[in-house]
Amino acid sequence: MKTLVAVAFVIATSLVAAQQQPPVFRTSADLVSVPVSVRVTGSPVGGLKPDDFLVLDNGVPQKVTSLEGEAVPADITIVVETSRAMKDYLGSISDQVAKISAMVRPTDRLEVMGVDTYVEELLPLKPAAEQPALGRLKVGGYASINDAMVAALLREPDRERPHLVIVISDTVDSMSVTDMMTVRDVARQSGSTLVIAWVTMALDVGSWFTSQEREGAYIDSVGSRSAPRGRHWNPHHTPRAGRHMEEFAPLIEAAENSGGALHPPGVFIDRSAAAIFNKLFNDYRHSYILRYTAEGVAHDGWHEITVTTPKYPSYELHARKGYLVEPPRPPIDRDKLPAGSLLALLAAESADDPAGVDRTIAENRSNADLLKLLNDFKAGGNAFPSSPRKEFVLALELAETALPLSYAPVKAAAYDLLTRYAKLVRQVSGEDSFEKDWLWAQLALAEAPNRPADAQKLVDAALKKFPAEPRFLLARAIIADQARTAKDSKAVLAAYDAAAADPSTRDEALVRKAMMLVRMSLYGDAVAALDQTGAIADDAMLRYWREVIRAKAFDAMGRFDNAITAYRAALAVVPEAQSARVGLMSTLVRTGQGGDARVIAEAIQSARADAPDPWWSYTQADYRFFPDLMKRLRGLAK
Amino acid sequence: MKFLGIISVALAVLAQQATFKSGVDVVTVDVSVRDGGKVVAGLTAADFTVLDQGVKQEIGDVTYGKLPIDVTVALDVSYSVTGPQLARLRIAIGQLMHDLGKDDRLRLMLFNERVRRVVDFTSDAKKVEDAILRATAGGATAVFDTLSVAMVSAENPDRRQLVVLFTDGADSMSFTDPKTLIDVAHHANVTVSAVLPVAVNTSTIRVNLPPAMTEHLKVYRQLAADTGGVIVPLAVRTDVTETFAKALDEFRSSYVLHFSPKGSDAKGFHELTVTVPAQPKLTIRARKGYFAQ
Repeated sequence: MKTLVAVAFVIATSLVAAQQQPPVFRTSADLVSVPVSVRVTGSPVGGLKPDDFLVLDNGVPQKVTSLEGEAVPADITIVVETSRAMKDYLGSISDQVAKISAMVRPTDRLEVMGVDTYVEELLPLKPAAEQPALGRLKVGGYASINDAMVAALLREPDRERPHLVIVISDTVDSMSVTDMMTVRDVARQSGSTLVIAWVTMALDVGSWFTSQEREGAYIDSVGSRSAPRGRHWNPHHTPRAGRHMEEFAPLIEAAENSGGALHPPGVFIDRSAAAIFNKLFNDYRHSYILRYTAEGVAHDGWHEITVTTPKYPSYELHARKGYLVEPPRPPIDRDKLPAGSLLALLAAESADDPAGVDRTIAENRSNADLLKLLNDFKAGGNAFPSSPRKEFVLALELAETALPLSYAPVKAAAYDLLTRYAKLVRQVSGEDSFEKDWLWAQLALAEAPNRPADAQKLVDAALKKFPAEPRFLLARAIIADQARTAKDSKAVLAAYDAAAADPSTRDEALVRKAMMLVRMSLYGDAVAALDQTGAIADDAMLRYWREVIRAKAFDAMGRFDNAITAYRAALAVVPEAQSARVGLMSTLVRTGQGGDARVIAEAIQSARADAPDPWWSYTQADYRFFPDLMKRLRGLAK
Repeated sequence: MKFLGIISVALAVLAQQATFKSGVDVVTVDVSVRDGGKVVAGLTAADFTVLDQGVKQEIGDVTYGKLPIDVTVALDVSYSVTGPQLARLRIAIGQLMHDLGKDDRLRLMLFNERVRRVVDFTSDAKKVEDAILRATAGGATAVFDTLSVAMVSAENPDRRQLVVLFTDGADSMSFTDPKTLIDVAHHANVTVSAVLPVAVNTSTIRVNLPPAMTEHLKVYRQLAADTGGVIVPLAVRTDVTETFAKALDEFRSSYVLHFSPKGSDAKGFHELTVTVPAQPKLTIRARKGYFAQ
């Protein structure tokens, strides 16, 4: 989906976060993974062994403990510029992506991002074999290439897979909020390899490359922002040496620091994206993954990596230039904190005063105050050095208040908070139970506002840590259900089936699957799914949902007697629930029982003001577990 | 202030349907007749043709503006209805009370995710005004549920029933789906009109609403068309008070036709067609049919 402003904002906040607290580069056990490509006279070199490599980490030789070659599956992100400048090349881009999909291995995963004025995820990350055909692309707009590169590089890498980002564009960025220097800085801290391939070179680009410079140059030269001077494709064009390529130095540095490269026009005879990818991926495919445990070097900060093959000095090696290790966050000095909301919040949490926490947050409910409190909290150091779990509990409290608000910066700050703390929680939990419950609470908050794009990232991260956790599998199905379009229905149903495999989540997975089948007008299948549920003796809300969904299915099938029975069964669980009453009323009136229907209508209108209705919680999914989760987490945090 | 430009369009129309009792069954149909924007008075039974499932019916009786009216105001008080908007609606509803005839009544229902009747049918304007003053906004929006309850509970064959919905957003919480809502409307004896935040040009409703609301607007339009009601656009600078007054006046200025159905299948939905053959250019608005049990 197209989200220029959201991407820009996420980029901005992520960069701020990155500058304040850069992400840990690799695994928590100080195992460092370094993708390396080795070539001689342009051809890849295979068959090397660990002893063939010399790895220096901040100048200190390291022992390579493992070396993997071609078998390592990779994640590949292709960023394709679809601005008007690319119109001559994009007529066949769908075919190109199909060819690229065929080139990658079955174990590789592929995603495609399109960028014109907006950055758009065209195909989400999936095994290449499962990717559908890319629909017809629309060409037009300006080019936000820098923003797209930053977005691709900021994607949370899978620790077990190298991530290759391939950018295919025509050079000129004309709309990004970020510039080449930002791309360079993000690439330095990212775990991904960046390869940039230009299919053309705009003439007289001069100083058009930075977003700060573009406005003056464009307007002065062409009188409008929308018309670059002109370009032509010359497959043998050699870019002007010296001054011209120097202007792209930050991008070149970004690519090379990551272990990739920038390929200007003239390198490729065939300008098709598939041909470019074929060449690039052949290099990448023949890369190695070196692993070592850093020893003899300071733990924190930037680590410069040098990789050579001393026995083969003629070999040309490409590897990322280094990685960053996050230092432990210093404890907050509360004596130096100004009196205000953050201090009050921390004091209440320290005193195990949930009411005080709630009061402080409630006092900061305005958008500006809450945003300040969130940012102050994130910027602060370790607030509870002797009880670090308290900080994580507090993060959830803040996010719970912020997420339902409509003010986008507050919402974004809340999601950023959850994302950040999800990465850190393992460091302080010491065991799985706190981390699992914390991640589940986080997902509960993410599901409730029905923003599946944001929730998807959180559930993906949770499943990476605990791939078989049934609650997370159900969360994934729920989020996919919230996001689904018609063509995704099969995948969503499969996700519910996966969640139904475990007894602890089986009944809810089947109930939600049934509701989805009702929305798809597959009423018989919905009833069949519900018939597979058990007694659901200990979850009244779930039992209620089952009965009203069953009633809905029967009603739609014209089986009104069965529907009435199911509605009455629901009301046996929650007697005053408005939804079952409304459903029963509507069915009665349509079956000629108007008198009975009017009695129920009267009951609805005169119900007590606090009469519960479980239906109102249905779309909030796991949020119904949030209060108990918080109670448990508070107990574990003491 | 303008009344938006729908005066030339058929205005609030009445239709009532009677459920069959036993023996002799009488169907009641409210019909609005307009020539341009002007009310056409003085018509008799001989002027009308009523087709029930395509079969011409003998009209037993025609009355004009005599039956008392029950108006149900269903007011959206969800989170999205903010202070100024709610204040305007409060003023308009208060004025509406004063425009009712001496035998007319008003019921006030407030809804967010919860459907509540705060004032039952009354002629007491102060009671209604006090209830509105106490209303506060918050929560989700269950429009379809509210309309279903309003229609089912507005059953009184001796009085004409009008439900006026005021909402500013899409339904976000109802258990009732659109198809069921329309079905309930076909079984009920009520005219439904909706006051919605849409802009209008002279010939179409031009919608500048979020996608969900656009989808639900289609539901409201069908509901109004099938029950003989109208969509009343409410632009920002519209005088809501005048809007209400006009809608009520149009509702009141209608004929009520009575006939005993003959020659048509007794069960199921009966499609009705009402015309004034001698004056084909008149604008006739009546409900589309009724359900026979």
